[in-house]
Amino acid sequence: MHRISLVISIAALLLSGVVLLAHSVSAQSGEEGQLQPADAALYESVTMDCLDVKYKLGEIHRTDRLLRVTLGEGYDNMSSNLMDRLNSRIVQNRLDGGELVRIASEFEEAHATFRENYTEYDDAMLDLLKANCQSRTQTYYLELQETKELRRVVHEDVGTLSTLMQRYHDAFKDLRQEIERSAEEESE
Amino acid sequence: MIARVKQPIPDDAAAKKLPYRVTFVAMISGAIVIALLLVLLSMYLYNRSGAAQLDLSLPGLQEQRMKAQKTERFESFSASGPLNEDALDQFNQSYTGQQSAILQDKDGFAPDELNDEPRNISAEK
Repeated sequence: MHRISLVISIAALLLSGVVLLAHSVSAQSGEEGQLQPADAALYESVTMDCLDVKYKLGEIHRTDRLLRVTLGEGYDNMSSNLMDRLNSRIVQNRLDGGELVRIASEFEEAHATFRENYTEYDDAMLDLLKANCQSRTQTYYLELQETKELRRVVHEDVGTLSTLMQRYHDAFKDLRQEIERSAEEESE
Repeated sequence: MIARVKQPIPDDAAAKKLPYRVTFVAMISGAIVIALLLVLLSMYLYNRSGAAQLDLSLPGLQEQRMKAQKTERFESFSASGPLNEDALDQFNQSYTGQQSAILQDKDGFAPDELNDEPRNISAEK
């Protein structure tokens, strides 16, 4: 009886160990990135102060986190508390707000893209912070360049969202002029 | 009065029934394994859903957490009512305020911050 219970306990512990090991292996393989061994030969020599680079990357990562939270909150307010609500009022008042609805929809899509791209960038940044820079400098450098590219994509997303906000405001001003014009016509 | 006679369990049935302690240990072990799998699943969802990127509760992010808490409350716009001049003014005010707050960070995530020169990195092809 004792032997059976011992076997069951060991089996459970082994299963837990296998699951944890699989998780850590998958995390580690993600850390290695998608670089091929031949990519490391792209650069003949790469020199960097690994400690300094990692420290500065850590600082950038912390600043980015705050920026992501601030911008995310701002975009949520813009979409849920302003655009959607004005669109709802336009429909209630039976006005023509097709352009505003279209831009709001584009904004929502661009916001989702920003979230996805930031997650990808953040994962790459975390991989850089965890990776061993000293033993694999060339690969680390290539990963840094890839992360820089992902950051550029996120930066472009921020620009796209800013443009859409401006377009929505321009469309709002047009609608406002139309409402005022029709009010004047009614009063005459 | 009818006397109740305890029926003896046949030998083969008694042999098939697992002892109480074994069942108990199997149950506890199973619960541990299931809990572990659920923790892994929740960690996966936490990382994939984007919640991890918004989590400033990590020990290294104390300064950022303090800054994030200082953000002002936002006055939202009502979803119902007439669209008269007052309502349009109120919307315009809220919108421009929110837009200018967001545009303060329009240069956010500039790729130049990861350039080689400030990092003292040199690479030769």
